[in-house]
Amino acid sequence: MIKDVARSLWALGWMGGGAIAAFVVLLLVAPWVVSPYVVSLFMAMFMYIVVCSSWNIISGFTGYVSFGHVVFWGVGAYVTAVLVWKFNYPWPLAVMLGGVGSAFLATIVSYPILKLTGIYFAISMLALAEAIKILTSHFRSVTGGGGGIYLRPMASLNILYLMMGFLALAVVLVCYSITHTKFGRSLLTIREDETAAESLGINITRRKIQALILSGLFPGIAGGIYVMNVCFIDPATAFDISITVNIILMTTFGGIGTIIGPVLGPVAFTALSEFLWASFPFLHRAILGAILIAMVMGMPNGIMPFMVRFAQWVGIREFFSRRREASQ
Amino acid sequence: MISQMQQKSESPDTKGKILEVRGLTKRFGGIIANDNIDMDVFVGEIVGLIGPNGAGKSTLFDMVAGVKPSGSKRFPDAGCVRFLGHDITQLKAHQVCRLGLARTFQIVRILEKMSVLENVTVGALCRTSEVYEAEKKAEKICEFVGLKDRQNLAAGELTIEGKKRLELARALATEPKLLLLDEVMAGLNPSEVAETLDLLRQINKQGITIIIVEHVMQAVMAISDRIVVLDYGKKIADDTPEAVVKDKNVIDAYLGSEDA
Repeated sequence: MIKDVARSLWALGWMGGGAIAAFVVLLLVAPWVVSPYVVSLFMAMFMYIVVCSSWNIISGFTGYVSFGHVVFWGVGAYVTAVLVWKFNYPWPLAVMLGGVGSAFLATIVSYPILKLTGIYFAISMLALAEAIKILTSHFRSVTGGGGGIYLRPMASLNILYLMMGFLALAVVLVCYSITHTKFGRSLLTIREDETAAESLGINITRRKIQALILSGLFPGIAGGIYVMNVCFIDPATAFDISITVNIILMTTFGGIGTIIGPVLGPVAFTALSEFLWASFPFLHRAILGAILIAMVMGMPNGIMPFMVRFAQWVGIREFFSRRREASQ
Repeated sequence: MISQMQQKSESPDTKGKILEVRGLTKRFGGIIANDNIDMDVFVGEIVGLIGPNGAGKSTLFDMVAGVKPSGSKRFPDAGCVRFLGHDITQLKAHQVCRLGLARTFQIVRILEKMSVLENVTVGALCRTSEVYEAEKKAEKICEFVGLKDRQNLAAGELTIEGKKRLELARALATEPKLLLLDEVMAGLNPSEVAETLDLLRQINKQGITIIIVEHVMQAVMAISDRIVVLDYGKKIADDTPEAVVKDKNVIDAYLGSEDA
């Protein structure tokens, strides 16, 4: 498996490596160039890249569409906040433990919940998010109840922004790499046909559980970084269904089941909504809605497959197929 | 090529048992799909499994391979299945596959959105954890079954003949010792049937035991060492092809008995 990961990273080549280097340079330079407002905008964008890419592992690659992915993000945020607030943990450790917390939640719910498929899985994830939200409001002594937790600012915006940026890069590379491993191939097979997958020696239960845990881990870390930035969390924010809706919307926008889709989606979506918000302060939501409807009609599979088709039409296909042969 | 990966010590005429089915019974509500079936398969054989529609052939395959038939719990109601000395009655499909029992499906279950090569690679990943290695092996198998020139097509673009062949290739890639083929020749034209028979003989020569469910009678009679006949879930004959075609019970099952 490690060999496959190494091989896939090597196959990124000059273009892929250059793109990563350019991203890192821009990431490091941006805080010196742009205003703090833009930095926090970027941070929100990176956060959505993290959660969309993670959602894409269970929902895009494996085919189990989750309608409650906010729960992992929210649990990560809460674990971090409680550890810092109650137990005075150093905040970077608390952020990492936020990821452990959400992965742990994914582990305990995975076995029963992955017995369900299709709409039933989607609904039970939704119910899970709502249940955790109620539980967080209820256990006042641990979680601060419905009033939430206030933290004093500990980390600077720039540090948190950089953490989120590198996390996004890491998650995208992980998603890219797993599609080149046995694990990723198993997930894609499960998406297409579970019975066939099982007959080909794939332990589908185990693979789905692994996928959900991986899919729950990164949003938890992102939630932890988020809470250190805004210094406040309450159940209504942490388990807000509109975050799940945004995840699904953005990933669909970019292209479900692709690697670049969950990156393009948040980038395009953030840029678009920011532009509309600045240009049409009163109508931006309506216009955004209209654009989304048009996009779904025009490119039902998202931007990414559309761009691939466009590239093929222009004739770049030749270039890509030659590169692929060379890399084999 | 397969034999290199296979490390088989037994030659086809060593008459060791590879599969042993004892008293296998499966009910779907009031219908008995498999009724107390006993069946032995020996190493290196090609066994034909025939019977009228609804006789329980595919159910028997499902029970042996640990596949859950739709709308039912997974396991047989009674009886046991032993494969290479292991009791596999309660094992799941992926465990059975690991032990070396592969199958194809009557209604093909190819991964339509993946390429032909990727389909076969998934099968090969049963025996290795390296995708790169699995891909190399998949290429060889594609060549062996005659899919090499189509290996980069999306599997969904194949004709029915290609899809049947792909299912066979994918099953072979899991390095089976016993191959269950469910109507791999249905819908093929006579020359394609002849090609497939040829391919099956080659596979068998490499030491892989085959059980084949087939409705194309000339094909199954030509290739099988032994024929097992099912009717209404019961085994009604188990003999050489020559003897089976003369068997009164079999003739009655296919043509209807005189007093029916």
